[in-house]
Amino acid sequence: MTDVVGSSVAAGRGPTGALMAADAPDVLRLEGVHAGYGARSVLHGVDLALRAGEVLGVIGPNGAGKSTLVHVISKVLAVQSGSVWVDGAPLASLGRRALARRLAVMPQAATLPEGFLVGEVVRMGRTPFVRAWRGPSAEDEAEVERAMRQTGVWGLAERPVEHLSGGERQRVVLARALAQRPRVLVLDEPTSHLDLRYQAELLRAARQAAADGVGVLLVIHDLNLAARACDRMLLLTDGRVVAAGTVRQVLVRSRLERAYRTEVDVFDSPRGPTVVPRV
Amino acid sequence: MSVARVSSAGVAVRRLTRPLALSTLALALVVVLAAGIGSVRIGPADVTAATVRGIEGSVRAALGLAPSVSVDAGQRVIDTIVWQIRLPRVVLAALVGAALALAGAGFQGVFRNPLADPYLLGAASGAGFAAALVMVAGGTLGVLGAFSVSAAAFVGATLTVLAVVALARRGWTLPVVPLVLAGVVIGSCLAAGTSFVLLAAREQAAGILTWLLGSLAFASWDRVGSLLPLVLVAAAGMLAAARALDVLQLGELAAAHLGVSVEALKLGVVLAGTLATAAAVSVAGVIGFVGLVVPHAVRLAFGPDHRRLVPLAAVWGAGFMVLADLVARTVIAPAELPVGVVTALVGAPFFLVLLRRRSAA
Repeated sequence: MTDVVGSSVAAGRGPTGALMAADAPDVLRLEGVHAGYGARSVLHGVDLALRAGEVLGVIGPNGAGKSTLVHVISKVLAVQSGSVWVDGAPLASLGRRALARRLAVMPQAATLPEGFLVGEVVRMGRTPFVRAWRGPSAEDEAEVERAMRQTGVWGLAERPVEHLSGGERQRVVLARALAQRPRVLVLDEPTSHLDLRYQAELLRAARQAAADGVGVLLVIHDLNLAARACDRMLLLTDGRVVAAGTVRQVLVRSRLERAYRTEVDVFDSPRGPTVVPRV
Repeated sequence: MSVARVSSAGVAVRRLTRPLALSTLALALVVVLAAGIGSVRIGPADVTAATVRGIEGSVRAALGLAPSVSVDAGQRVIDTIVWQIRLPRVVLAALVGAALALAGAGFQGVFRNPLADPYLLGAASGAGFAAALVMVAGGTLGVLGAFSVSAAAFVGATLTVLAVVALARRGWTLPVVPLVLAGVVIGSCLAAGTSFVLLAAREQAAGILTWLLGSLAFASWDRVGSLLPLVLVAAAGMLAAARALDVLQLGELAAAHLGVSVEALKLGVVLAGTLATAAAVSVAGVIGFVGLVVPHAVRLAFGPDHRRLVPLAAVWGAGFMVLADLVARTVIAPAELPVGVVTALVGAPFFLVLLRRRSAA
């Protein structure tokens, strides 16, 4: 299965219809990654390659190892064996700050601390760039403004974060991640608890980031949103990649039924497949 | 909100300079006022003049110069009262208040809990137990002489927190919940030990209790001199951590994603806070509520970001402590209330009001 994961794969066609360059550089690459907590192994030899400019979806049932994968990539959890490269550099050689200049994570259920203003929270995205005892540079301020305009929260700069709606909060968290000006953007369940409009808004912002050349790793439960937002997908089950490729290659009924252990219907449409469980 | 302005790029930035300057000015006024009040009332102009002469005299003495031309006898009395008696006490109070408020601001930031205070990790119980033991043993330890109780309290506080950190650590990480639990458990053990000492040594019990409740009656320029460098080091450490403490409020995981070395930050802030707390307790005993209420109030008044919170909490803690000590030494003069009783009497109701407002919001 790993042959379709690597960058050797032929060009896929994204949901925007654009033909992606197969020779775009890998900004994130995992080879044979085993990882877990203490004696318990969760990931068993995961291979993954994310190219600049694409959205790669990571789907799979609860407990498949999606969160563990995010922890490994963000160096919160050490690999037991295998290798990870971020923007061409071995993850092991990157310090926390150096990693944060290349890779941003939009965490699941992010907390926004009470009393801080939106502008202050987004400016925290520049933490890996700001030197001790120095204020933010003009470049930092420019990146903050760019990220806030791109996510439509520029007008909220002086609002305390506790006065934001759910959709606004998620856009603020995304703006903070984009302010890091990352090569790799990891979105961990960014659309949970959002209504349809905000789901669409957030995923459009993710696609825009990809169009700007960022490699976007989208960890997401909602297969139908994934089908519309992703260029390629990776199906994780019990810590192993059981399918990888284009959306139509992965969202196949037999594969999904095996992975999720339940019967599903897959309806195809011009905008991509729709998956519905049988109840 | 008037605290926000717009930076060159148009993003909201809060001011620090003006509130800090105004707060420092208010602190200076409180210091001059407090140094003038007592059995002999001295006006602000005389206090200022006596202070200037006191500083001049110290500088001359330090440079080996002869004292300046002697002033008249009445003025010399005022100089003695202000420079030798009142100012050391007022300045010591300010330093103790600043140290406790700094530590409180740091602990509340690192534990992400506005109810954290400088004694959370057992510093007070450790200092109290060690001081009680030394007082029972006669109050002096060899070369330390009059500083024995202070030294014991400092070492007791520091060792207790280090033991708590050692107990709670998991490898190279310092998980917060075990840290707080270990602090509470060890603190209770040491408090029980202090109670036992109080019961066993009845003759010294009153002295020990007075120390435990906190007092600035033994102030001197020597004590100010021993406290100042410790507080400055702790303040520098806390200021250096301020930006990272802001990011930590997003959660430990999110802070790590933004490049913060979370474990180093937690350990650094705990050590800086412990240094400040141990230093304060060693010269003034256990004074409660300052480290809890002052950072909390400053956060409500000026916002939560630590680059403002840390310096402003230090200044306000200093002012609060000077006023509390003023009350302690004047309300039942010539007797004194323990200053810890005053801070608790003022601090507790104030804190309840804050809590009520918080839960109502």
